[in-house]
Amino acid sequence: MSSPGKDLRRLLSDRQVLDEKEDLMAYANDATFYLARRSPDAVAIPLSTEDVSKIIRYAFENKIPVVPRGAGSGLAGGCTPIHGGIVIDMKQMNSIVEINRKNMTAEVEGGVVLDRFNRELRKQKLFYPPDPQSMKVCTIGGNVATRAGGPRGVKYGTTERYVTGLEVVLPDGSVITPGGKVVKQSCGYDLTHLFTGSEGTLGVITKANLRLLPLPETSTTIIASCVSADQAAEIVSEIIAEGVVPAMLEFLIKLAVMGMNNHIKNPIPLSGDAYLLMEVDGGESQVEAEVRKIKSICNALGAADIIVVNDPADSRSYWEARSKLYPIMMSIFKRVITEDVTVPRNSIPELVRRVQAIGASLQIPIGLAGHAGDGNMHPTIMHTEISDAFAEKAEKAIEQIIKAGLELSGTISGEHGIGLHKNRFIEMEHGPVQIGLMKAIKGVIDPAGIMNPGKIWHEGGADK
Amino acid sequence: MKLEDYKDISARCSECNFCQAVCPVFISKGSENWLARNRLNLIREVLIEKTMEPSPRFTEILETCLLCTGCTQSCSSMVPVDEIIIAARSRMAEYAGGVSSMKKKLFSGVMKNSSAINLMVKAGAVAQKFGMAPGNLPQMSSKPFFSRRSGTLKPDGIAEARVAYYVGCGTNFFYPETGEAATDILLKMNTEVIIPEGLTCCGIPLLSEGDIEGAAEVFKKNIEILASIECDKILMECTSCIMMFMKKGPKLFAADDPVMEKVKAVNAKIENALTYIYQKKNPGINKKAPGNFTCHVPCHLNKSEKGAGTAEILRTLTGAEYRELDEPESCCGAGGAYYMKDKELSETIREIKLKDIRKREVSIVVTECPMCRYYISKGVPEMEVMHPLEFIKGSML
Ligand SMILES: Cc1cc2nc3c(=O)[nH]c(=O)nc-3n(C[C@H](O)[C@H](O)[C@H](O)COP(=O)(O)OP(=O)(O)OC[C@H]3O[C@@H](n4cnc5c(N)ncnc54)[C@H](O)[C@@H]3O)c2cc1C
Repeated sequence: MSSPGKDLRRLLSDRQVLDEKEDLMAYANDATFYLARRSPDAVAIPLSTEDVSKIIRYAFENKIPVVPRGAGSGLAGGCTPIHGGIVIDMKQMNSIVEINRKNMTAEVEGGVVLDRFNRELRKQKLFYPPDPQSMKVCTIGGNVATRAGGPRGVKYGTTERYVTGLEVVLPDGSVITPGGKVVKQSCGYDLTHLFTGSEGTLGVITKANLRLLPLPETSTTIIASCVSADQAAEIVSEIIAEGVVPAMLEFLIKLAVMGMNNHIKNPIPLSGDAYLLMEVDGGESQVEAEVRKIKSICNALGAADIIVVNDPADSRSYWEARSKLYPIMMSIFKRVITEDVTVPRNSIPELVRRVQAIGASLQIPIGLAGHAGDGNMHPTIMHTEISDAFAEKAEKAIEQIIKAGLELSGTISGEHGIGLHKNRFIEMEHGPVQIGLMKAIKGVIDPAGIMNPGKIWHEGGADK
Repeated sequence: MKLEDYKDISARCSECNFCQAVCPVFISKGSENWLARNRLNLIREVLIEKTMEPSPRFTEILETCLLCTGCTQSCSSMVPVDEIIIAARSRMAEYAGGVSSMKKKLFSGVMKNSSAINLMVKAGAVAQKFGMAPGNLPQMSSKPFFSRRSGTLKPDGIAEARVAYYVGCGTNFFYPETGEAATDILLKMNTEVIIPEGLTCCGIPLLSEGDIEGAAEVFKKNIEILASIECDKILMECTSCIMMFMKKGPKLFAADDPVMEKVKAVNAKIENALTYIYQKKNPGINKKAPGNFTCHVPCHLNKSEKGAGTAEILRTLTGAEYRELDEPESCCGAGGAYYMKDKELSETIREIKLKDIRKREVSIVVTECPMCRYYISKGVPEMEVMHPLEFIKGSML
């Protein structure tokens, strides 16, 4: 049998294919190398939807696994080619096709980097809110495929809220365009949102139509330093209950702030055990009013210190350090595994208590740093050593955290997706009937099971 | 440090892939095989764990790095990627005894002996021998800086301060006008300027070829000389030299090495000449805007330490209009002398920079690094490219 590398070179061009082992290694995993590494047999770099079709048709005919990949910044092992095959690197499909001011929508190719998109929008005083903290590199395709979110989720929701249409190459190479530029649609099943969050298991997202907002007039950053994680959690619940809707509301334990401080010019004073990093945005008077309200809630609940950040450069540096929290923790610990449980906001205090108890009983450090405003807490298992004994404890902790989240009517993943990381837990959340439905859908769209096999649930999808 | 010693440090890489945002090689070539993350993984497998052969492709990936330090500077896990690459290049040179090590020998002979006036001419000849694009070097000045000014320069008035001036090779051989601007301004500020004898290249070019020993040797020699001079400050005008003295050089010695005392003493005195002048003489005496300008921030400018905010300083001192680039800090493609090795890649990287520059419609581009200066000037012949000291000279005298 001929090799995929050679065949792909015939279909595409020389420059669009990688198949030397030194090159393939770069595509062996996403940001979760500890879950699995495996080099693909070839990497294909499409420049157009037509290229993607060609690649997939070839894979379909030869029953070769295909794994779509954006920036490879995923935290679920989603683009790790565990069965080898062809990785489709989407990063060269990076044109912003249209920014339509009059319709407040944009059309972009799947490989467009989120940060670049937002910088273009800002020039026109426009704004695309979803802000996964990997924004400097992650792609819109990857965001749509995982329903990525970030600190702004509390006020603006996550990626799926902004997707109005897609162009998708199906697992047989054909192209569909569910949804479109209209901002509402009531016309049959919502396929747009079936592919949104499908983690590369149903097809390759080559284009997305996205809703835009006007750029908020102004914003202010506030830091509440809290005497305990419990107190911080109570404040979050209270802010939500009071009807204040900050643009961002991040929960950080002291250790996280200490790590961030190494990267900040004016470090955050370390007066408490837990911190809330918040931003309110909107019109001038609205921002002022919300700042006042938040301050009074924090005071009423006994926060140790409340800082309203006046220098925009300081604000930027805090948020930038926040976005780098995961790699920052890697400079302190040997390994860092980030969980993604998300609970109803009123249950945040209880989740915080349970996670702390789990850490205490297993005697391992578990950090909490998350988008608390939308209930997404990212409990983080911080490895002080790499050993079987520790890994075993980490395993237990993950399982207990996930169970705690589900008991509190939460979900096991708010934004990272299931990938490899949580595929053994997904049935716990959805139950056999829903999983059966999902597998049936997968079987219809991808009967050969070539699209990103082994993700979301064990082995490929369609029950064989 | 030996390559093996980097094993744990390298394991800090969280593989977050954030280096995609800054690596000029990745940005130009577009695929992840050129990223720091892959380089680190390959170095581990090939040179440390030895599970893979040092293939030609491995060598290519290792060599195709401009050592711009973008990934290192932005890495939140604080992995010193450039140092690991240098250590790996050094190891490869030991292995092969091939082109790489020959090149290394020739280069280091030339670099270590900077009293050879035609340093860069020789380097050019070396480049030619190894098929690097010939004739692609800045014009050698017919009268290098050290034959224009040397020894101790005394101001007309009573000296209020005494500084040593470490003149970078770029200033010495290609752009002596930078050194003249520096000394003119300092003298005008009633500062006595000592131009110490016997100093050589800072060692950065040797390091990038993986010649760690050679770099350590020249670094030590420079430190010994500078430590022996009585002065308030040691001024430098080249950002790569500053990086070598402040960050890279000290790491070439063990913490308890006797030379480290002197390194500390010297480094405590090192100051970016522009910042020094600005702080002492703020603001400019007679605002004389030489023309509107933009700034290219050289990769080796240590943003956090010696010399942030060049544009702001220039604007304050001269009153000139500043037009910021979209990406002031992105690499210009020169990579020291890298552009001679891989013309195509360097030009691709440069084109991104040039587009950004042309959009500003300015008459002057300011940058600290002589190699950036040369390489950018070749791309925008219609503009003047100069060192910040030359830019402010008119306002300071
Ligand atoms: C430091 C750090 C911080 C992070 N912070 C956040 C955060 O705050 N919020 C958050 O939600 N995530 C976060 N992430 C996770 C990750 O960045 C997001 O999941 C992001 O959406 C992934 O985008 P990507 O382009 O890197 O996709 P990849 O990692 O390349 O792929 C992710 C998944 O999407 C699929 N996919 C990618 N492109 C396509 C396409 N064009 N068509 C079909 N399927 C595709 C892949 O097959 C895979 O299953 C973070 C990651 C890191 C390393």
